[in-house]
Amino acid sequence: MKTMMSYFYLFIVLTTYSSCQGVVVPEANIVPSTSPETSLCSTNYSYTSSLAVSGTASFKKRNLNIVSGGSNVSQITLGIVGSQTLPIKYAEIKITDSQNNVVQCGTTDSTGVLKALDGVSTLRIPSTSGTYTVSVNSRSVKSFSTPSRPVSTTSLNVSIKEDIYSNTLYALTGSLSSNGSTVNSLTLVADADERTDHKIKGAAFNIYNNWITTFEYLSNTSVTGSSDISCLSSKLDVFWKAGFNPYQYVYPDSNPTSLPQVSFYLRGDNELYINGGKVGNVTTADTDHFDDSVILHEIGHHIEASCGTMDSPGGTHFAMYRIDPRLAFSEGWGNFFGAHIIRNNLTKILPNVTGLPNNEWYFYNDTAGFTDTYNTSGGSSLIIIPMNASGISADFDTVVPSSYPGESHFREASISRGLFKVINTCASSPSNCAGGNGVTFSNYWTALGKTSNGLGGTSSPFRNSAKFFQKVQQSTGTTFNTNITNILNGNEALQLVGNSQFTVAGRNSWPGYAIPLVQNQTCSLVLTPRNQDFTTGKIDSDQRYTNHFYLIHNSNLAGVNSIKLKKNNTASSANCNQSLDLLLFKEGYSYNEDCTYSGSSCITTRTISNDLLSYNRSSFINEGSYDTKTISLAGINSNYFLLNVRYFSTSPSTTANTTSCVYELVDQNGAQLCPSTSY
Amino acid sequence: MSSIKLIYLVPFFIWGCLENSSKELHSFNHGLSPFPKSQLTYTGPVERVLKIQFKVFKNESSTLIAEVSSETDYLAPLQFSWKLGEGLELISGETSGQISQIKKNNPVQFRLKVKGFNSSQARFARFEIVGLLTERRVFADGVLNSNSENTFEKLVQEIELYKKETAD
Repeated sequence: MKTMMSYFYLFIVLTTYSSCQGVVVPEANIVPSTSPETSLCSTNYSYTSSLAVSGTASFKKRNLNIVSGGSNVSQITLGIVGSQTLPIKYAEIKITDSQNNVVQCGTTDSTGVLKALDGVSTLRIPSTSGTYTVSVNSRSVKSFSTPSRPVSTTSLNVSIKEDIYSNTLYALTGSLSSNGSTVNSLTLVADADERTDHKIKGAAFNIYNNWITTFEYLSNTSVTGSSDISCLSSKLDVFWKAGFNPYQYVYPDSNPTSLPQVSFYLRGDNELYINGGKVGNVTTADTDHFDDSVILHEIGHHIEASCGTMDSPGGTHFAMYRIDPRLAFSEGWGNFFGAHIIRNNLTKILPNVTGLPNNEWYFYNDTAGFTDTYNTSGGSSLIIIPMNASGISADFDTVVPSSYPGESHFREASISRGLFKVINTCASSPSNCAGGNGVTFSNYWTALGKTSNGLGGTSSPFRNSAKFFQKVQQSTGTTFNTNITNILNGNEALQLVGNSQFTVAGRNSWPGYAIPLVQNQTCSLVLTPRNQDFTTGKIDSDQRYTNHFYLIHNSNLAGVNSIKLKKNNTASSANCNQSLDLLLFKEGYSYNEDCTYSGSSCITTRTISNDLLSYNRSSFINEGSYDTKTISLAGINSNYFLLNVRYFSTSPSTTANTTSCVYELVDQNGAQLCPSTSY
Repeated sequence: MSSIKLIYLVPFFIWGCLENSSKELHSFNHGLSPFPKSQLTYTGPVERVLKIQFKVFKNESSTLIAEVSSETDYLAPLQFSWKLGEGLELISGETSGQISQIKKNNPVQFRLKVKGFNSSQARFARFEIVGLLTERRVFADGVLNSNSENTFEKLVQEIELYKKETAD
């Protein structure tokens, strides 16, 4: 008991605030008592005699300082708190009297004006003299109707909360003084300066505004047509606290001072966590509450998970090396979404922005700290990914479409650029964009979704950008025109399955990630592995070159109960003197690396994981001009699996880039199995 | 009496709600990339593979120590820098510089003596180190708060520890 008492006394801390440092410290009496979220104020109170309440609610945010030379933006940092505010739209209003009794509920409208619950009528309080408190909360629960959509009602349902224990909403409050016949008007403004508001409510409402703007954008029939958008109705909870790194929730035992800072999305719970700084610091630490690209990136994951299906395995991603294509697509989508929403809603998100070439926004960006008159050197420009850049000369995920076709499907920054350039126009140089050439966001929406036309359907596992762009093309009802294919094939390395660049000496060198393996076709396949070299940081197996991946489903493989790999051991296979292994992954797998770093080299082991249904990593059996391995398909039932043909080397850093392994796949009767010509 | 009731109620609520809140947080199969997005820093793409342990000796003249270690050899130059927040004054030590390499399990210490870190108000200092090998840039950074006991991160640690202890 004594330990518990002393432990909970720790929760009671005094509010301190340093005007010099912008210190953010938990307030006194905000004990994280793990309460559920307070009930929505949803009653419309009628009074025989009442007074009209008038007013507005808005928020401030920090401006961006943009450094550019011509059409090249080299730096984006956070600056002073801007003078122009943005409206707080569709937010819950609660009015209480001096006894803390709720006397009225309402909502702000689409321009931030205080209204009754219907969003239109006048907000009214009883004509009893006294003092009333108006709270505009960081929560919205509101329905919108679009009769042309399959599900005509879409609900806006979002809460921005301080932490996972108290579930406290942010509240912008003001006082009404009534003499019984008149009452003052209110102009409520959420501040963005931690010196005057240590909670920085302007930041909370900025995060809120990013979701509202996204919701409004996707609800617009000119954006998503008459498609079903009911997936947006699921409740979104966002947790953010000024000066706090939410990664501490994930690694509570880690030292807070050196724990990396992260904003992230938890798809199982529909929860966003936005990085608010670290150990109370917001002036120099990485913060994301005014980094709209970052917030919208995480919202993009929520859209992907709710309206499509997110099967990213997570993992390290630097925008520098080829990675798991599911991860690359998911992160690429997020980066694209972060840039695209701002690009197409600039005045709703960045009303004060100046200095943009051609007044165009085409970035994914991230900043740390801020610089203003009292914090004169705190701001840093962390990341700028220009979405209109050519992949050939980009800083992140540089690609070589002619030499390494298809590699962009394994590179998140390249995917983001491709997604952005295909549907947006760009006046700024380099004007690599192809907006207006027959592909719109509506096609992306269809391609992402859960219908049979979308990536999100259950019959479309192992989601990746190659499959996504094929779905986009199918949704247009025609082939991509030259402007689009120039982006995909020449500006980036996003060549689609079947592109002639994948044919090497008459053989298919890249069938496509998770392309279905089918019967009754003939084919010739070649794997061209690449090296792994820890000195250059290429520590993982190259998923584009050192691996092939085939979708295995019994609907495509009638009567097939085993698959034999036949590696050609004649001169056709140059330098292919190591092994090809067979691994059969389950859905949701994590790729098991064979290389572990030790000192300055790589120790290779044929690793096995629980994500495998079966595998054959044993030695080849020689059958004349072929070396063979066989894997059983027992147990696949009607589920989806992924067959990985993997080049295994005991010395992966010395794999010659001229290595080519010619092989074929056959069933137990010797009949050839081939990649389908499309997804 | 009411304070005792609160104490009994709080553990109950903490247990119930924390279980719901934290059950997914440690799973990396839920759209959470375990490596932070700040992997991409203003120095370009980096690998956060260096570890920093901070030690602070508070006094009129406080000593701040950043001890950097690596699990593998990094045989290339690394650049370090300290940034002192408002209210801190440097007494001695290098706020920036370079070291030639860092070897596996052989930590390197970077020390500063500063004035003002024992203030009742929170003061901040930031340390970062980045490897300069173009093909492989390693990185680590951290922020020190002179009043770290009063941070929300500390509170989270205590809550989660309490949950673990009561679960056991």
